[in-house]
Amino acid sequence: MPSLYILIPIAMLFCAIAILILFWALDNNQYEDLEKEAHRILFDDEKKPPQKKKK
Amino acid sequence: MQTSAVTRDHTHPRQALDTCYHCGLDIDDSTDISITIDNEKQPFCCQGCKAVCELIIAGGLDNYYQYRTAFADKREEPSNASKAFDEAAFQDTFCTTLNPNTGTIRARLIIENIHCAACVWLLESSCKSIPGLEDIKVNLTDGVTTLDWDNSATQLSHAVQRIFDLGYKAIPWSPDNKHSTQEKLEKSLLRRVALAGIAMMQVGMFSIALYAGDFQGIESEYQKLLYWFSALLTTPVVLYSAQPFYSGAFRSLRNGFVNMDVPVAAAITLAYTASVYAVATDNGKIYFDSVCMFAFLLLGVRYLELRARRRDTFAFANKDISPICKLLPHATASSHTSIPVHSVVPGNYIMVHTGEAIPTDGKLVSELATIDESGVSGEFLPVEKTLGSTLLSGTVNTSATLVMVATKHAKDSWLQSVQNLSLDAQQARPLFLQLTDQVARYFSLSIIIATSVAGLVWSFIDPSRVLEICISMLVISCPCALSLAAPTALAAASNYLRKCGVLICDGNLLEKLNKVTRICFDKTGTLTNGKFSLAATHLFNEDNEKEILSIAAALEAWSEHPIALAFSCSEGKPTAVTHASNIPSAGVSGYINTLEHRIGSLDYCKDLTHTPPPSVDTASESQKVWLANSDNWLACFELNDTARTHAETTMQSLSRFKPALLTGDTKASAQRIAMQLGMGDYRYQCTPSDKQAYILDLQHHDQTVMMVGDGINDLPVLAQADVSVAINSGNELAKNQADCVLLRNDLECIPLLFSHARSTYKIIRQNILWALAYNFGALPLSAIGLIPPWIAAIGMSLSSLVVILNAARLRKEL
Repeated sequence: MPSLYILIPIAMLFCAIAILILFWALDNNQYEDLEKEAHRILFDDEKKPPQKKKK
Repeated sequence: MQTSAVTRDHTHPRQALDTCYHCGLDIDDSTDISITIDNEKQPFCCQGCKAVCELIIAGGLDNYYQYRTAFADKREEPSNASKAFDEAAFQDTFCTTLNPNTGTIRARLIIENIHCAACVWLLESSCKSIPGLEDIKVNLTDGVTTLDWDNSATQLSHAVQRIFDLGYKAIPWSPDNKHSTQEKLEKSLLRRVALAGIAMMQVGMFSIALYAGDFQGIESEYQKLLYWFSALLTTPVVLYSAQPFYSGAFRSLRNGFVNMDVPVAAAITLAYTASVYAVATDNGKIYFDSVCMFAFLLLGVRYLELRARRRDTFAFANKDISPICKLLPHATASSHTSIPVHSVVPGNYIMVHTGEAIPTDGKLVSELATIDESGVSGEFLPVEKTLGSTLLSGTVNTSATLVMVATKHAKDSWLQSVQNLSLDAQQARPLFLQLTDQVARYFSLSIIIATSVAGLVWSFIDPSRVLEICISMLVISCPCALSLAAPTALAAASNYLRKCGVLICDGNLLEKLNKVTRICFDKTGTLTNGKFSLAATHLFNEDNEKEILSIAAALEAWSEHPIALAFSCSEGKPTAVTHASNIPSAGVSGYINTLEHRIGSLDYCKDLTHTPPPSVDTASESQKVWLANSDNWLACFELNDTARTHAETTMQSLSRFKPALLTGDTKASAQRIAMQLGMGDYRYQCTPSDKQAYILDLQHHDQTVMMVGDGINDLPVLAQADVSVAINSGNELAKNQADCVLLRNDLECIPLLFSHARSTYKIIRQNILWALAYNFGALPLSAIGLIPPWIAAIGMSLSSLVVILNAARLRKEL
């Protein structure tokens, strides 16, 4: 079981990284509008030239 | 899936045959506007909606109609207000320069009437096609929009005009202090929740290993290792995440009372120090997992509550931007500079364009002007002013551009004096105390006392369990379910009401509504539409009414007088008019099929027919417009300010509140509307302070009064009333002042407000009962030592969850 002495610190490191990434995302306003992003995937985001009547 | 009780089903736009494809409103039989989309003929209610739809389809954005989950708003009349967005002095109030080298500027706007994600997509996609516009982000939740544009390539007005063209309304916005504090608070709370959550998961994993070790045996070396790492992970949770509890507890203790933060802070510090001590001395129980879970759940609940509250208050924390007016160096100058209204001094010459408000009191310098004083007097017919007439601030110029000279500072103007009056009334308003806050306060105190007593008793029975019992008691009886009982229900209810078209601006509104005993209404613009519309048509010959109306509309198209607008809505094949001429304060003449036609005043038409008109039976105070050709009298139109749709049914369903009418208008028109709507009580020719005095008098007779109004002259009375409701088409100041705003100008929302307030009250009562029952049930169980701390943490959060779920029922129709 001495591997725990390495594995647990590594797990802690992962925790720290996860927290840092989360804080970074927060500071970059990634959590500003949680509703819009949920719907965004439904729309075609690429810019199309004006379509000529077709489905 | 929700359905709304109002006339429009806003959550599921499905096309009925006789509703507008764009906005979903019913279509008048007489109109015939449509375009063909995907080989299907789609009807529209007005040219405005059709224009929006054409713009959307031309941009290749027709997905909008496929994905939207709510109808758009009916498009307002086209506005040229977007030009003002290019004024440098105006931009200073809401724009920041991002990059001076490239000329990139960021504007902050609030876009009103955003309904669903499709709106956001439509706005973003459509605006991105404007060259020079670098980025646009629209927030679906509160409509806050950031717009980055390259000032050398385009102008802000292009983007704003596009937003108007799409049928939305953009207003400049600069976050005030309250807003930015709340934004900061929300962000920091989310950080705390996130940290506590991640720590909780990791400590939980260690706990599983430790529990397994309890059963299977674990070497004490590794047990200690896991304990120390748990302590390490819990430390930032206790020191950073839980910090709001300490500051809350400290603040309340300093003010001499006990709030719910006190037991929470006590539980966390007690459990944490006891655990650290136990790890260090190898003696005692460890509660790191409970501490993390407790902190995470409580912070999570708080975050959800904050977010739910933010939604409705936000869009309204704005609009205080100092308005700009156009200063002329002298009376006949042709160029102007823009300055903020508050820096105008008496003697300044100011230019006011059509449709703009008079910035401060002054005198007219131009020869002639017509002014809409409906905000002051309730009289909706524009008033003619001549050289030297007094102009009151807040009234609107409806004629061509005028020049005026200021006679007062903006701070001494009529508008400001009315605002001061309303400010005084607002301060004198009794404070509304929320019942649950008080209950939670006493409750927290009794928990502390009960816990100390139990701890004392246990120290005689079994000193080793004192700590465990105390922590369990503090955690399980945490009154957060109680303190959530009202806010969650109110937030859910106001979300629902917003979908129905009512924006709640005062958090206490729904609780106050249950106490209302009387309702007073303003007339012009509130019960009525505040503009001329056709009340009756008297035909003198065997003509087709539609034909006559189309002749009238064709002639009046040449006039800009407010009367002319009453005719403009009649659609159909336009009648061709030649040689039209518009004679001010007389009427319009023109040739139709080589026959001269005139529309306008009696005398003007008489000059053409040379015969006296046929006698007609008309209401005395309504405005009469005559139509004649060179052979004959054709028709007499009666124009009036008509009551809003649903006004009559609304009055009927509110009859138990004895609705009263308060207006600055004349007796005749007050009487007519009161009779038509079946209102027994009406007051006419009221000044703003008369109205206020009337309400005050009612309040002295122990009545709780609700006031519905829209104009500047309603400001003091809205402030005086216990509950105030503003109409969305009304004045911005009135809207900012009111407790709630009827977004769709639909009076039918008022009965809905009352019914929803009742169900909200019911839910709040259920929530309080449940929270009290839970706490009083669980406290004795934990006091006799049946509940370990970790179960207590789960029980506490489950009880909050029940409250939140119960409140969520209010989001649906009850």
